Amino acid sequence: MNAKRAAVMAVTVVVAVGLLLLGMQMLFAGVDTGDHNTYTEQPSTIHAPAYANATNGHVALKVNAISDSSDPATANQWIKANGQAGVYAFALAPPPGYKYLIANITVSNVQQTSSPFKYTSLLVVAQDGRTYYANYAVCTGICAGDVLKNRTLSANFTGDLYVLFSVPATAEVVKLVYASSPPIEMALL
Amino acid sequence: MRHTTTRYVVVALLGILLISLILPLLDGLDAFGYANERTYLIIFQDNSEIRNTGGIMACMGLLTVYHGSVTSLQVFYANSTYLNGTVKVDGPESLTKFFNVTSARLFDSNVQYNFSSFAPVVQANLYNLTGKRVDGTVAVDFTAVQELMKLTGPMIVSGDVITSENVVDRLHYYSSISQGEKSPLTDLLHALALDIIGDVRGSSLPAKLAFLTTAQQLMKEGHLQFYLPGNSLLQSFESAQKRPAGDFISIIDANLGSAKADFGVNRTVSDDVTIFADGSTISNLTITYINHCWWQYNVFSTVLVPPGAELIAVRNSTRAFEGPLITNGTGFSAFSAHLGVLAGSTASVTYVYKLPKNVHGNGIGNHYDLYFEKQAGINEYTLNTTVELPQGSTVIKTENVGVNQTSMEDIHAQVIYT
Repeated sequence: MNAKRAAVMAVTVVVAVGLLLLGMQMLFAGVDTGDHNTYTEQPSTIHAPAYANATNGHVALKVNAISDSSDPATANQWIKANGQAGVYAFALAPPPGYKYLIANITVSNVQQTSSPFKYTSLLVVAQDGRTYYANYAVCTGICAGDVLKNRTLSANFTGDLYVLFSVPATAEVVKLVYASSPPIEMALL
Repeated sequence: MRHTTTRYVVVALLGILLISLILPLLDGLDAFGYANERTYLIIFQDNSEIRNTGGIMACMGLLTVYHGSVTSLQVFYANSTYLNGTVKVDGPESLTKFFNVTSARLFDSNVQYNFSSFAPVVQANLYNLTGKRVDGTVAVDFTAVQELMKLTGPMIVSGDVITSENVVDRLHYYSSISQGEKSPLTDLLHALALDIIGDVRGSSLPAKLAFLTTAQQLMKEGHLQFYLPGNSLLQSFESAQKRPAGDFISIIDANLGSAKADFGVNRTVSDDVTIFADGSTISNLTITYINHCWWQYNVFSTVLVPPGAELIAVRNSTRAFEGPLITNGTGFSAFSAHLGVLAGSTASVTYVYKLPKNVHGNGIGNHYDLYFEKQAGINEYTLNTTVELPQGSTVIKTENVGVNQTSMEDIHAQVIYT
């Protein structure tokens, strides 16, 4: 009798543990483990109004335009620059639920010597404070070598860069930030 | 006496239950190196450049684990001397006949129709070329890396912030500038792999369960594939092709030098099936490619259908169409063709074929089952199916028959009728 009871208990425990694990797995399927970077402004941040020139003493940046890649004119500019850049061909087909924003930025070296510049330090900030780092950038001529490959701007360099950001389809971006030291924050609205 | 017998039976059953729980657990612990050091071949497949087993093999790695910890991870670039050796290719026939090839470089050798057929071959080839023996193989594609990073959150690698949104493009960029032995791509994949493993190990129980759920989903979608011979616990995770009886369609595409195009190409599969009163069945299968890229998409497409299927007609609206080549293998017939889809345009190929009678099942009423197998590495596709029954038939049940079914997994369509 005791053995029977023990068997029933053992089976009950195994089934209960199984159900508990299954339940926890279902419960935690959508656990938010922190895929979101939220923008925190640093005290040293340099601010620039929309579409104005801004510098951190090394590089100067100016956002000329930022638009959705579904806009034919934007797509054409991208395709032209991408075709000439000689790196990898990037299809303007955002994943489901996302859109591609393309920023046209003029980048200048304000130093008489070469300055480091990483387009991967460019990010856009959405209205809810979430940040989206650059996916890819294209530009042509000397810019392709300096900005894309060497990540260094030669003395007195100036060039136009197209930087692509993948953001949720519903996101509205309000700032473009160059996360340098000190950072440059450029308003977009 | 009867009481004692019952007791023995109960104890025996408990013993069997305990052993059945403990043995797989021991196997599981063994896989993580608790008994002996274990080394696995990790294949990083770039699924934006689709190949038979899920994507071009951008890099390969050797991961060694001991007592549940990673003791070493080496990542090799596709073009490195390590992976550049030539290996024999003796199938599938569709490929060897169409391209008249008998060999390929190791990193270009994932030509089998599925990962479970390829994994033992690549393990043997790796051993022949390098002398390295591995205990199993894991294939991870770029979509899997992206999905896992949704759980880990951003990571900083070589000063760059890598997020789930930009990781695939960072990998592509580094792939495009990589050459020779040491490449920024291998550095990035090495760092990401160790960071992801570290995050999983160090995470809370809820986060671990979230990782497990994501991993299971990625396995169902063919973005994460395992081949672990002899491990009873992990065998359930293996990506073996278990094809049930019935009609099936498996489309295996290989991108032919069209760069990172496949994330910009949408696929729609339309299958119109007509079942006649004498039991014969005609399938009218159309594969439509919508190329959103600004360059031409070239693909070698193979359709696997039930063995004995008889091709009646082929129509195509693609560019540079070559084929079809009809070949047969164990458990399938294959129709293969090389086709091109112009930049920003849509093109399709249609195969009309007669199915063998053994695709129909019996039971209560007549059964027609169609299993559509999604190729590993493909993110999403649309399936349209129609089934026309013999005149006078009555439908009892239909499942997944209809248009615009968008899926990231296999689909089983069914019609039961009298």
